[in-house]
Amino acid sequence: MDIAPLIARTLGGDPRAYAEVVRTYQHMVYTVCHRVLRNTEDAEEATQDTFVKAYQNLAGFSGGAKFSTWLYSIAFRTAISHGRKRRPDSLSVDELAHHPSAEREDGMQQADVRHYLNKALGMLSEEDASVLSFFYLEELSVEEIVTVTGLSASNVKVKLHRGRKKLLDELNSELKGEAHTLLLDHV
Amino acid sequence: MSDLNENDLRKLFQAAGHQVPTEGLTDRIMARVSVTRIVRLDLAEPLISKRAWILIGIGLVTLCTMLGLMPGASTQPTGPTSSLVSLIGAFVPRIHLPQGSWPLWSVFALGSVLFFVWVDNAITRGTRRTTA
Repeated sequence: MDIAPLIARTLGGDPRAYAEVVRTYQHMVYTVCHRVLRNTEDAEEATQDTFVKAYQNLAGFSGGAKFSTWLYSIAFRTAISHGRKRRPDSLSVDELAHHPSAEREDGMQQADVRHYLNKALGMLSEEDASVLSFFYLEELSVEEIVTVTGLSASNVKVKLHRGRKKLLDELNSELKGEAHTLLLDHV
Repeated sequence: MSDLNENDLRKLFQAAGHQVPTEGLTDRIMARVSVTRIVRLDLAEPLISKRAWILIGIGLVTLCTMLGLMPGASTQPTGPTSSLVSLIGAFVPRIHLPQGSWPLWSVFALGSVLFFVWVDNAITRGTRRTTA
């Protein structure tokens, strides 16, 4: 999707254009925030803050980088900042995986896959889980992850390697032999 | 039954997809955006542009050359510029001639022009970064 006309219209004062931008990217931004915060309320608050910050600074988006990378960068930093002042009574990853809205919209199969993946990702640090998500879900390159997170390239590679191994260990130990039948049948 | 391997991870992430926020998130975001202003980037123009610095530099070098102020030049100007120097000398009677060699002063003048152009660029870049 070509985002440039929507940005131009937003800068020209058309709020419907920015609503379109929000609709296009809200799931991606929410996922980034959720990976870091692991809590519905906090993730939604961080998502709102991300889009407000992006709107305020839209004129500063040079177009040199991809818009999604620029937005992920704001989302990741906003979520990290929210995480530092998060409430102690946050929901756990397990509770999130069974969030009713997710099951209603996606059906049980995808919700199951998401549940096990979220549970395993919950065993990783926020940064490791985010880096894996950027790499495998958003399909960002290592260079793009460096831009988004502000980590060094070697650090990103280490986190990818370490996170990948730990995630596989968690998934395999959680699911034992059922892993392939339960998960890969839906893949 | 074999375990999951590295190749399965991408498929697994793709199958799980994005997290789904609660309904009405777009409306809540737009409600906040509606009371937010876009920060406009009004870049401050440098007071003296790059072209102006170059012209000033060239003008200075030309003036110095014409006045015969370059080191090594005679204190008594001769040639076509002598009348001009005499005229200026009448208004500015005490011009102290610097010591040194003509090529060195030319290099110095050229270096000054380039330095001022670089300063001008640096200020412009700094202004852009600060505004962004």
